[in-house]
Formats: sequence, structure tokens, C-alpha cells
Amino acid sequence: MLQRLSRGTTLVAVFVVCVVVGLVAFTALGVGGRRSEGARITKVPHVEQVVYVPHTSPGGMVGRSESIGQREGGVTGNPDGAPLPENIPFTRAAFDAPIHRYRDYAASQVKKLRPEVATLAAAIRRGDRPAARAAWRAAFARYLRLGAVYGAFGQLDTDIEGLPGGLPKGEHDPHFIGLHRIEMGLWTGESVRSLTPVAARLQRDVQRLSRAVRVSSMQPLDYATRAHEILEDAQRDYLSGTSVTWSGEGVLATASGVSATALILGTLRPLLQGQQSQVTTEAGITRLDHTLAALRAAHGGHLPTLSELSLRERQRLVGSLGWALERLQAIPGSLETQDPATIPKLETKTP
Amino acid sequence: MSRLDRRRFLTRSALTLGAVGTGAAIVPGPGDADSERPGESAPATGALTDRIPFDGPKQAGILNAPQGHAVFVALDAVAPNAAALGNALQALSYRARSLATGGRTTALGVDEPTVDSGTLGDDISPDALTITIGFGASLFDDRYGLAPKKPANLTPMPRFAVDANLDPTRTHGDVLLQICAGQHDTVTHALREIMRVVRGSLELRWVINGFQSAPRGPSEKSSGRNLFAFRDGTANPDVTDAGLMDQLVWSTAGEPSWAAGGTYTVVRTIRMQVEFWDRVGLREQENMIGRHRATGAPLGGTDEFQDPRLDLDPKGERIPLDAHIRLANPRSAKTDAQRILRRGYNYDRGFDEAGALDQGLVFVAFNQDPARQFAAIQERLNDEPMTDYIRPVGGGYFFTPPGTQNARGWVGDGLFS
Ligand code: HEM
Repeated sequence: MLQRLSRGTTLVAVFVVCVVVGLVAFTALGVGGRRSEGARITKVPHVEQVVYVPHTSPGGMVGRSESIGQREGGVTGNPDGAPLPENIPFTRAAFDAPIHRYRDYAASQVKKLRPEVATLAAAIRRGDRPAARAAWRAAFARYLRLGAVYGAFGQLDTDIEGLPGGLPKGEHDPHFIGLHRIEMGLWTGESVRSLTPVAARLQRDVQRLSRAVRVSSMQPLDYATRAHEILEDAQRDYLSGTSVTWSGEGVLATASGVSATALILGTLRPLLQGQQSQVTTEAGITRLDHTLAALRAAHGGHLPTLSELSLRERQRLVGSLGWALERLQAIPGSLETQDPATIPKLETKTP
Repeated sequence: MSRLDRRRFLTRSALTLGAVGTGAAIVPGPGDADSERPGESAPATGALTDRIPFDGPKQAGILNAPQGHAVFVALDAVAPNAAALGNALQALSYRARSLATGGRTTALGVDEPTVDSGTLGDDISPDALTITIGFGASLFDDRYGLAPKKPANLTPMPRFAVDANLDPTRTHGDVLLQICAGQHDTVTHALREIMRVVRGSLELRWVINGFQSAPRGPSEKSSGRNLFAFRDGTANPDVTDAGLMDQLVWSTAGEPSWAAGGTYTVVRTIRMQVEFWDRVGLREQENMIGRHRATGAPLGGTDEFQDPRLDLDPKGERIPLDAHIRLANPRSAKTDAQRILRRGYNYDRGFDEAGALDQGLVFVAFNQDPARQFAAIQERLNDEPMTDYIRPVGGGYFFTPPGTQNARGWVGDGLFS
């Protein structure tokens, strides 16, 4: 994620997908250039109702990035209406307050995480599997709410939430520790008490978190980027089941990602205020919140595991998430601190 | 490889084409494609009659441009003993040869199951079918006494730092078949016919289908796009340069005699988070790859085949220092011997549990020594920005022996002699 600076391309590069009613003939030029030779190159004679037209800049707003779905649900609700303007570029200093607020929030989450991990460790020492599972869920969900910062923790993040996949001996590797090691123990037949040393180590690592949160530093762009990446990660890692193989708590993990994202967006509100992306992303998060609340209600007050989801429930959740993601993608572009640099020309010729 | 290269290659193949072996079940019919006049550069038409000979000093399916469709099949040996394994491998090559040759299937009595399933009809077009056979390191364990014959550079695929999500059921294997053809039904038919002759000795471990994007120009040379929408295959080493292929692809030094002149196939099934990718700005995508998406030109350039001139851009002002093409090939004297021949396919296998499209790349590379080449490149790519969007889920290392000299030869015969 080092090249985020270039988000939100220049006007020339930006294309709007525009739905045109009626049949539009596609010129040969529109399909990958004019070619008369090369009989094997497919030519598309007609295209139905969609045509891609260059985006003309209303009012010459620099760096506006527009994409599918960004217009609808706007203030007017009129898909053909002009989208709201963007306020970019921002000064880097404009991000100080949001990042500061987020760090305070993260610190408060760590404060809550410590007793939750203590509860988990105690249940493990007692050999109480149901209590340990409940405590694990709470601690896991809490940790994932740190969403925007855990990238800054480095090895400490791996110690707390690392997965066995990358380790030489996989699940049996002595370096497989932390929440997922405990998850494996609690959801397989392993003796609960045998997890005591892992839980003790987790407690120590969580102690170290408080400091790590205080000293964590975030660049404006990384912070803006996390606003959409937390949920991209949730979809890729948790809702897919890949990172919660034993407990199946992918919905819970996704819900934590939604909370973290909502918080980031909240801190960025002063910057996003009045921008199109504020309107659309908040709509995305609201819909996700509603979907999660409905799931909780339907499952006796707690979020179901992935396997407890009915097909329809899964589709609703996935649908809300995808819908939100399509909107969140606009965030980094609408929070740029500088225009993308022009690429220097490469003068050399083809060999 | 570009179309033109392929055309040149096929022309040469047509010239060197000797006796085409006939398979057990298929007899070549009159008017089949390779009765064409030698020297005519016609075969790369994508026509069903295109034929790529099974026999030759090298196996087919390596230097020729990728056909439109493929299936990669990893099998494990379950043969009760070495003789049975040898029989199965022999049958495999014979069947592969007859399928690549095409022709009319022989009729049997109507009360018998037919020799060919018939899914391509009774008159089978070769459709540029190639069946490339390779062996994994596990085949050389103690089960069949093949340990002394193990190829010099063959190891199991190591676990790279990016391999946290490898699925054991989609990784490794005793035997690899790379089946490629112009049309998907040809590929599917070939696999089905082959399974009939190897059942009981070789059983399926994993299978993945692949496809090329259609040639969409702007020129005949233009590379097709992978599922990140970038042109793929641009900077491959020139397959018509035999000297270069000897340096990068074919392995001779230190090989047991049966293996000399073969190559190592690296397959990596790499899931691509295509939807996530689509939600990233174009410039950022281009910076991750180091090329322009529309043209495939190196950043700042205008032509796909332009030299990126990394030497003129040591600070990464034009092509970022962590761009894929820069890390994959720094174009330095020190890394020149690490170059590989890539021949990948796109895949599309539906969607995952999170409702996300499950698409990606069957990355395929041929090289002389995977440790010196593929692995060295992969190590440099472990931290590239693109890693957020891709995830290796399977694959393996395989040794791909030299080709068969004539219709009595079979891939692997040297293992049992
Ligand atoms: C899904 C994963 C991957 C994608 C989407 C991808 C995409 C690309 C693209 C778009 C190019 C530029 C066009 C070209 O020269 O073909 C390229 C070049 C290249 N890639 Fe990859 N690639 C992937 C994985 C890999 C892996 C795993 C390796 C090897 C370890 C690799 C090695 C190379 C090399 C050697 C080049 C040529 C660089 C040059 O000589 O300029 N790629 N790749």
C-alpha cells in the first residue's frame, strides 16, 4: 500500500459509465482502436445500451474520482444530477485531529481488551470450554475493532492474531500463538487447560499493545485508505471463512470491521462534509449496520457463525458489504493531500 | 509470446515434423492439417485442424504460444508397483499422442462401450492440442524405487512468505498434465480420455481450468490481458532464440541422462481479489505493475514492447522501485540468469463463501533451475504492493522431461529402463 498517493486519477483518465437509453452503434474506434489488418481481431459491431464516454469536467474540479454507484443515493437521489463536489486537496495537517481521535478510540478499546483477555485466560485455566469460547469471541471482536491501527503493530499483531499458514510447521508450529491458536484449541478436541501458556502469553502481548497504540503513527493517506481496506480485508479474510477456520466467527469479525470503519469515517467527517463520498459511504455503513442488526435479532441476540447463515441471510450480508465497498472505494480519492504526479516520459523507442 | 512468434515457431515445427505417430484409437484421416505445404506460415489460425506434433526433442506446450484453453491436472500415483506405473505412463503418452494427432475413431461392435467417449464426434480434430507431462518430487520417493533417477534440480515447491493460504488439496502432486488446445471441449475431452487409460495407477489430486483472453489487438503482436486487466506476457524471453532457451529453460548440466534437456515447470494457482482490484485507482494499479493498463507500455512509454529503461530511472520516479516488473526482472547483469519463460492462464472458478468472485491466474513458468530462477524472483516479490490483492492457493514444482523421439517413445520411459 505504498503507492496510494496516486489515487483519484486526473480528469482525462477518469471515465464515467453512462447508461444511454436506446441503441448506440459502437464505432470500430471505440473497441480497441482501428484495425483493418489482423483478421483474428474480434470486432464488436454493436453494443447494447451501455457506452463509455469521456468524463467532461463540470466546473473543472481537479482530481475528482467518480465511479459506479457514487451518484445514486446522493442528496438529490437523482442519478443524472450533478454529484457533489470534492474538497481536495487537503493539507496533511487536516488529518491530525482525525488520527488523534482514532488513536484515543483505539486506546480505549485496548483498555477494554485487557480484562476481556484476562477473563479468557481464567476460563482456560479452569478448563471451562463454553466460558472460554464466549470470552474468546469478545476478545477477538474487540481486537478487530482496532482496524485502522493494527497494521502499525508489526510483529505484535502477528503474535496476537497471526495465522498458522505462513509457518514452517503450520498449525503445529511452536510459533503459532495468539488468538487463533486459542481458537483452534477451543473449537477442536484439544484440552482447554493445555492452552494456559498460550493465554498467558496473549495477556502479556495485550499489555504491550497499550504502548504500541500510543506510539503508532499513521500517514494521512494510509488512514484514508484504511477506511475502505478494513472491510475489503473483512470480506477477503473473515467472511470467506479463511481466517476463522475453527470458530466460523466471520460475521462477528466483519461486524468489528464495520465498527472500525464507521469510526474512521466519523473522525473524517469534518473533511468529508458536503462531499459526495460522505453521503454514499455513510449510506453504505448504515445499510450494513441494519443488516447486522437484523441478523442478530434473528439469531437470538448474537451474530451467527458462517455456517449458521441461511443462503438468503448470507446473500443479504454479502450484498450489503459489496454495496458498501463499492462506495467506500471513493474515500482515498476524496481525501488526497496532493494531485497525482505526472509520470515522466520514457523517450526510448521500441527495439 | 506474441502471435508472430508462435507463427514462426509453428512453421519451424511443421518443417521438422517427421512421422506422426498414430495412436491406438485414432487414425489420422486424409486432408488433415499437417499435410500442408511445409514452409507456409498458416497454422496459427486457431482452426480446429491446427496440429502440434506430440513427438519431438522437446515436449510440446512449452515454447509454442499458449492456446486458448487449458486444464492443469495433478495426479498421484497409486499403482501397486513400478511396472504398473510404467504401463500407465506409457499408455498416457500413447493416448496423448493419438489425441494430438486427431483422426477418425475406430468403430467397434455396437454392444461394446466405444473406445472414445465421442464427445468430439467420430472425427476428431487436433485443435492444436498439446499434452505436456511432468513429474513432481514425490514420485521419486521410496514407493517405486525411482529415487536414483531424480532430476538434479527437482524439489517440492518450497513455502514462500506469501504462501500462508496454500491449500494442501490444491498443492503438489506426483504427475502434472498440462493440457492445452484451441477450444475448451478439446481440453475436456482429452482429460476424459486420458483418465480412462490411467485409472488405477494415477488418481486425481487437483485440477484447474484456464483460459486466455481473446486477441483483441490493437495489433497482432499485442499481448492479451490477465484478470487484473493488464497485458500479460509482454516481457517473456524470446522463444525463437535457441541459445537463450538453453540458458534459461532447458536443463542439462548435472541431470541424469534420461532427464537431460528437460525443463522445470512451476505452477502457482494464484487467487486474485479482482473486485478489490477494481476498487483501486487506475494510477495506483499502474504503479503496482509498472506498466500502463491500456497499452501495456512501461510507465511513461507508449509502446507495449518498449524497453522500460530501468537504468534511466534509478530512483523510481517513473516506475516505482517496488513495481511488479521491476522486482520481477531488475534487468541487471546479475539477475539475467534468473529469467523465466511464463505461460500462464486466467482462471474463473465461481465464487467463494464471502460471495466474492473466485478468479485468478494459473501462473506457469518454465525454467532450468527453479531455485536459481523462479524462487529468486518470488523472494523479491514477497513484499510487493500487489500482494494485498493476490493469494497463492496451490501449485507445485514439476520436472518436465524431454520429448519423445518417435511413436514408440513415451514420456518417462527413461525412468524404467
Ligand atoms: C496474480 C499474480 C500475477 C500477476 C497479476 C502478474 C502480472 C504481471 C504483469 C501485468 C506483467 C507485465 C507484462 C509482462 O511482461 O508480462 C508481469 C510481468 C512479469 N511477471 Fe508477473 N504477475 C503475477 C505473478 C507473478 C509471479 C508469481 C512471478 C514470478 C515469481 C511473476 C513474474 C513476472 C516476470 C518475470 C515478469 C516480466 C518482467 C519483465 O521482464 O519486465 N509474476 N506480471
